[in-house]
Amino acid sequence: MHDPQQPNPQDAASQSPTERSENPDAEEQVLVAYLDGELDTEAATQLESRLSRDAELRGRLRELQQTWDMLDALPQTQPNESFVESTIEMMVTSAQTVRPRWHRWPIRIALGACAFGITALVAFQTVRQIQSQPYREFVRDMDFIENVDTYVAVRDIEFLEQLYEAAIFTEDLAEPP
Amino acid sequence: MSQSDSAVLKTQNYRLHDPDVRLMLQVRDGNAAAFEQLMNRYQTRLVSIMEHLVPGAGQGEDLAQEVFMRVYRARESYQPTAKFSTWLFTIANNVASNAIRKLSRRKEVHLQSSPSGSSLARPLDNIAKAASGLMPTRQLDRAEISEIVALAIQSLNERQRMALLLSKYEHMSYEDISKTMGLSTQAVKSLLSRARCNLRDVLQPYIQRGIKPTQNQSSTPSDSED
Repeated sequence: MHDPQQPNPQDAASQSPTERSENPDAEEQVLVAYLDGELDTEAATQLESRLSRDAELRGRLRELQQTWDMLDALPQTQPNESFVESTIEMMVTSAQTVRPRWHRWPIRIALGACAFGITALVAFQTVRQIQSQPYREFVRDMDFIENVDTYVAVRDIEFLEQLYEAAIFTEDLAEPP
Repeated sequence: MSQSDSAVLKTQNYRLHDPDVRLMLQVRDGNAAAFEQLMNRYQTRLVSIMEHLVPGAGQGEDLAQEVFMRVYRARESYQPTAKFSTWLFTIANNVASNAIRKLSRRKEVHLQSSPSGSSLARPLDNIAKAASGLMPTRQLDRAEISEIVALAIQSLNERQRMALLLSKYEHMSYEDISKTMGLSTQAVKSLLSRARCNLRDVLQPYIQRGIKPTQNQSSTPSDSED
């Protein structure tokens, strides 16, 4: 189905010279498509018929063909002899730089796990130590805390030492009731 | 026939009729020698087309290597839904477009620092210069013609250049060019028509009379003019 917004090659191919000037783009497209072998048989026949009558159109076709043929003069760039070899080397290098990443994964995971374990252990010990500190102080001061009422009742430490030396309460200390 | 049946038939068709598709399928299966064979087949065509697609850069080989690298990286997901050359030049088109974008960014910086502009920016001025020495006889030798033609091709915009090169040097049909460039067949037809008319407008005055192109001609066509 022909797009109505696009020039119809068949219409352009069969245009008279007067009609042609009103739609030059369509005509150039037809000429180029003809040179490229992209016109269907009917459109090509119509264009050939016009070309046989229209010298100016033939001239334009010839110019298009001439400049197209000039492109043959464009040199082909010959790649370096080692092009294929160097490309393969690049691929190998590229593959090697990518592959170790995958190969290193188990090592990375193991190292990560070790680091995590060590960090966790250190953290655990530190926390434990911090948490056990008040308890240790409590244990150390337990004797004092238990007798704090007694200590408050006495006047000073010398008085207590005198009592101890006099052995007045020694039996009570040795055999609790 | 369902769409999936049609796709399968197409795939089988390319498998049967395109030897390069068969080679690429071997590459997909891990045959490195098949890839070497493909590179040997396409290296000259690819390097040449990249050289002309990315004007003035002199990096045809580098770009062709990039294309082959991409083909190789994509081998595992390769499906023969088109001719191998169509697939290859689609990749080439992408690589060239990226290179041109990078180049134009660099050129912008260069132009800002150098008000005189680069030779790439005014290819038709160069054509005129080249022409001036040849005017007395109009006897153009092949080296001179190739220089003029190369400059004329550079005067086309990126899409016109690609379509023209695929048509001329790869002998691609409008349909194959449309697949390669992701355009409609009608758009390719229009693109090629404009490309060839631009070439004619640039080259004919030079061929016939050695006339320096006018200012209107020397403005490089923009993509919007496609």
